[in-house]
Amino acid sequence: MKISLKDIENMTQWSKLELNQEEKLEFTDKFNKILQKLDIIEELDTNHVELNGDKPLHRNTLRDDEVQPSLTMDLVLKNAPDTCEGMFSVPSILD
Amino acid sequence: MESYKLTVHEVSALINKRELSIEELLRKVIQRIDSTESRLDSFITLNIDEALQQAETLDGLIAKGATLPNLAGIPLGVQDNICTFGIRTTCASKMLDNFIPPYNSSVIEKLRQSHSIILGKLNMDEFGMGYSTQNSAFKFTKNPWDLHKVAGGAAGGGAAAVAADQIFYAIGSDMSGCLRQPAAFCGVVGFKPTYGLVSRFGLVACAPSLEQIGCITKDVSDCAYVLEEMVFYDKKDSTSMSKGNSTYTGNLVEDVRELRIGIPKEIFDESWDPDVRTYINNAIETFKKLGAQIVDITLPHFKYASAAHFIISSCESSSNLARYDGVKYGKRAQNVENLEELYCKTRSQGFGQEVKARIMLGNLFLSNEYYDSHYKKALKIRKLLKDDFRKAFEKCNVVLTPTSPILAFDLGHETDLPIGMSESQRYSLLANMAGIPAISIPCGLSQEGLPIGLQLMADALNEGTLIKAAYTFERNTDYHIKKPMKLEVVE
Repeated sequence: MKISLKDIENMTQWSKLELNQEEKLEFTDKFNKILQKLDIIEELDTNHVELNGDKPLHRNTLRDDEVQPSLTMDLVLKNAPDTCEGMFSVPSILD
Repeated sequence: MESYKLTVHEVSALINKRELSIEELLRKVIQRIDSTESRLDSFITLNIDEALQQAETLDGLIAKGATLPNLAGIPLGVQDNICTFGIRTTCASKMLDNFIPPYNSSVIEKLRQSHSIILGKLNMDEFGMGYSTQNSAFKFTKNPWDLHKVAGGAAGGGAAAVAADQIFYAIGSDMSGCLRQPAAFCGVVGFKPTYGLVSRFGLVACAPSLEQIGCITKDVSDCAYVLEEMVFYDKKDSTSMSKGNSTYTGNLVEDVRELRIGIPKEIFDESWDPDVRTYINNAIETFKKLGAQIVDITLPHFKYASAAHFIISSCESSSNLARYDGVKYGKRAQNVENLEELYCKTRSQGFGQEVKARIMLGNLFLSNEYYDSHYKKALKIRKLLKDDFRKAFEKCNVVLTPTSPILAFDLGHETDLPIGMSESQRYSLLANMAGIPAISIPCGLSQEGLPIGLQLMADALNEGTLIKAAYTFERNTDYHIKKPMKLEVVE
């Protein structure tokens, strides 16, 4: 598979990134080289492989749904770039 | 010998016998950092003031007759993607340049309870994406054996710091050999435990199904001591298991007579450095002489492992790094008009090029067009690899490969190939794909004086077998006691 500049633009949008034209061209070239390397997996037939048939080494364990001590609001907000009355502050979400 | 050059078990014995105070030890280590750090760049953040206060407190406890745990008072470094309460944790990214965690990761909480002294946070590739520590947003770490060579990665800071005696051991994460490959490049021991054996709560997640917290140490005995402190069941990590054996030091026994070592026929190819070939063959001969049996095994899907690892790690990274949006913590772009612009500008300014590339490719592989042909297929290849190892472990107890088929390369060496697709991690990433434990130990020095690493992998939860095999090899060779003398000459 080969990707185009248009694909790069889609990927940028999905990833919430901004790239200039030079970066877009650079990534197109880099990604096509990587995809070429990944072509090796095409030669392997995996249609017979069941992903759910594996016996796990251990099962995920979830704790009981009980209220437990958590971080204080002050600690949580300490790293926030901007706060307002004990909440995270962000730019307008509506135009 | 200067106290900073000793191992964990050696200084621990001196502290327990009251022949060395913790403050005295710490001040020697700080002097060592002062005289070497400008040439190595191992650390992102140092934590000296708190360390000195802690040393004073611990010496006070000892003076009152308290008996302290083995790791008490022994300075360590922590890779900068493991959360440390009150100590900046950046993941070597501009995105988290100012992030000070409001909590400790579980493994740090445990080490704090053992009175370990955190001396600083170690340099790494940004969010663990890289294999030479050249993708750090802050600095390149140099190899103590040759300051013009890379230290490996992603945990290059930890390996360089342990090899240069700046710390006694390092804690870090291993996604593709990120502890073992730098350990091999720097001539120290790197260990990745079984998936789920060490809690990942508080590890800044990148590729959670592949990552495992482990350690870098000066020798195999230290590895067993550190592992004993790190292994415990943690209800905060849903993948944590309660099956660990907490007496790994009991495996420090010199005996490989029952050991069957499997050599996968697929690993031998022209990519190997000639010196790596020589010393790996020597290591196999050493094991034979010590009574181990060598058996041929096969890993038929080895050739697809790097590609599958790359796809899975990219997909998981793209998802996990979606949390960096400039809202709750970390970098926030300025002069933005709306929330969408805030996300895009923050992420574009905060992430380095390699991280951006991985996020974009991960999103591509998870898109409708590529999902089956790439992501799902990669998961199936991982399953086939696990089956390969299951069959291999019916014939052998451990699998032997070089940690890296190449030696530490020149700083500034550019490559288009990202993590997992580098030659240097082709063998180490197998253990991450299979979820099994693996160790890298020094097994030689090349003609140009660069360390060579031997990797041993065992079936899940067989850490003890690895420690016993590696310890026996170490006791019958002297590579682990060699030091990077070039660093001393400049000093």
